[in-house]
Amino acid sequence: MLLPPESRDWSELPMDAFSVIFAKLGAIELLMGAGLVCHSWLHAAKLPHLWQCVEMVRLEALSLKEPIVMSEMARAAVDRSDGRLEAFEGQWSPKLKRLCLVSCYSVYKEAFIEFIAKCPLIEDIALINCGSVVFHALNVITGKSFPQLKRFELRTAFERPCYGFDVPLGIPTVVDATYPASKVRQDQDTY
Amino acid sequence: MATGSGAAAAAADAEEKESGSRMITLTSNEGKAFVVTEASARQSATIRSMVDDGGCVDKGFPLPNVDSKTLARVIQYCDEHGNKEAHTVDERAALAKFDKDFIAELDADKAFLYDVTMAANYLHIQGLFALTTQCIADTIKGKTPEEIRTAFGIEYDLTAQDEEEIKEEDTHA
Repeated sequence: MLLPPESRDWSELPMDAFSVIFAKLGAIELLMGAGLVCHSWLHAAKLPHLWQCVEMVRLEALSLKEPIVMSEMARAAVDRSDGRLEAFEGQWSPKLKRLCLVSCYSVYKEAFIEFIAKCPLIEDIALINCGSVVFHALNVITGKSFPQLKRFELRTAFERPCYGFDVPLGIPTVVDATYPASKVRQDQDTY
Repeated sequence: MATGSGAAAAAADAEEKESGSRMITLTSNEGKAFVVTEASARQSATIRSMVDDGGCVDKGFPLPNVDSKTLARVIQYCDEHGNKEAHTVDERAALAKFDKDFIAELDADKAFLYDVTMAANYLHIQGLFALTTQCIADTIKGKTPEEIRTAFGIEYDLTAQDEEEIKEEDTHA
């Protein structure tokens, strides 16, 4: 470390340091800030463990409010988790139109019911391999009015229709950025 | 109840054990020796495991990756955290104040912050590493990539392939 004062190479930190520093940053900061600084920071920002818990509520810092941008970032965050996503926390929007949960076995039914009931404009719900939450979802959806609902995709391990809904297979999945801040936690084992 | 002299010896023993008054020598890469208390040195998990494994305590520990200026600053942290008690509210507040002043000085000198972070990582001084990495993270927060490059003196070196990957991820939807 006998270096002249200004020659420290901040682009080449040890992985231990990157992994601790980047874990202290939110998803948006990693995707829009630190991850775009240079080659080695970009690659450090792709460490899958950084994406086990994705939190996308710090919108003010970067003034990013465009839903499409948020949606793309959420997708990128899920991609980067490389199947290790354990928690996703975003910001609830009453204008939410699409919701897709894949392999989310431990979504709390109360949280899900409360959340979906606050989304009157929902058009598209997909629950893929989500365990028992699907039955609560069906109860809510059949009992409430969702005038905009156009598609409800359900795939379970049992691969059978439920309550008269067909179970379509092979439809592309959608992950939406606007997700509840109400502590809905997902365990996403496979993506 | 032991006799007067026995009790004094036992108390001295206990004190020695408690305060870790065995001294340990750490040598910087410039050959400068720093004598510290064992309690201070034990803030470093690297040194702690060497001491516990019966390593060469008497000969001291050469640290080929740490220069004198950095080692002096690291020892300042270890002394404060290793030698002082932090049981009462006041003691904890004093330690928190020390940390705050300590990191403020490093924050103003990024090259020194870099050196101390590297040393904390190399010596596995958990509290110090947490302190410096938090300072680095706080510097990054809320900044654009260009502002981050300026703050740390980093060159833009993203390759065409990197840019393509970023673009692809952005337009995935």
